[in-house]
Amino acid sequence: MKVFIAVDNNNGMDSLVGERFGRAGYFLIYDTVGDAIVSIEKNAYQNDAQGVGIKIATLAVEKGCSAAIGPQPGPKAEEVLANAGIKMLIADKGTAREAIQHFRPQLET
Amino acid sequence: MIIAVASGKGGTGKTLVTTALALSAGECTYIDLDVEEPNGAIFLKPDIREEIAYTVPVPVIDKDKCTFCGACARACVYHALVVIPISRSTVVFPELCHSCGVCGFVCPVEGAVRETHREIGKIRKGNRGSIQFIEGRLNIGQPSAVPLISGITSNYITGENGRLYLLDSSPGTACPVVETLKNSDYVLLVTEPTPFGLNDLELAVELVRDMGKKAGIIINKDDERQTLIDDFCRRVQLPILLRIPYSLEIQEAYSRGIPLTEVRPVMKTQLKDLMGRITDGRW
Repeated sequence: MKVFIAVDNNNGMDSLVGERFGRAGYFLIYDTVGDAIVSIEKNAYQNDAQGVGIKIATLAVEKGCSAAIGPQPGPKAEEVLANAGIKMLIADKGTAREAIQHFRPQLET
Repeated sequence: MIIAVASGKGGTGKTLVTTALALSAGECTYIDLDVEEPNGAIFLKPDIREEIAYTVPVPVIDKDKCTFCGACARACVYHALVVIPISRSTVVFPELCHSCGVCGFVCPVEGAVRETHREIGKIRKGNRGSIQFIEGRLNIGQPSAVPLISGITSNYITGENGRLYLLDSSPGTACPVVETLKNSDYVLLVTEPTPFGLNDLELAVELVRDMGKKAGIIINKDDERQTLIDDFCRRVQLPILLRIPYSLEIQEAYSRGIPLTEVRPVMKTQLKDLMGRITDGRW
């Protein structure tokens, strides 16, 4: 399963989980089957005036993710994720590695 | 003749002035375009005869016809639509929609994008004597006042020869104010002699000049010891058309919904003269 993680910096699995979902600095995509990072990319929409949550949630859909980890998204992003069947797991501290470990049981179903 | 009353800073007396102008003019149309908090009715006490629900078109996706190609979502610059092919679903955010219709225009499937109507506010119409009263009232939670304002100005300002329209604007210099001033022939800027009043007046003057509108200043809560507005007006060469004194009596009457013309009947002549000068093009 591919997991979409909102992180604030680009430091592999030691990247810190973002303080905000749509406006996180980077997005890390992690594959729980191969236990490896698929990609880390800079959030190109971080400073957009509006529609950021929607764009980020759409990005998670396009990347084929089945779960997302990060702080509480806004209502619009949440609606897009829910419609796409992406499971949102709320975390607002720690590293990407810790988040994956913590949510491991929920990521295997 | 369309006269808009704007201010920059809130609470300087737009409604105090606009309602007093209406009551001095006799025959006119007063339109409350401060649709997020309309309060002109408190002073004019009109007899409301009609309430119309104002709607804007928003898309509905027919899930049986949609092929989930995503053309509409890519075309929508407001991100009001999201298409999710994997779950064969679409999400519409009506509050982000600007009713431009591009989604239906780009859709390759006949009938997959339909339009429905979403109410964003109410338009109330009535009379107070010879004053025609119109008010916009935006529904709570609506993010933009602009569609309601443009709906009112385009439908109710008929450009009837010689008719006087008085537009009570919202404060600030943002989109609702721009929409209100757009069709006006003259802008009255109401201010107060305080640093806050001056700061926001400067912004309002900049806006009015950018829009190429003729404008004049009304100083409310005037205090002859405070000359900062006078100094500014001299510098930017804008006329001060009227001074309303700082008076506890006027403030108390205002708090009870009593218009200026009732507390200071003598001002009726001044206000009538002021509108006459604007209409004649003397200001």
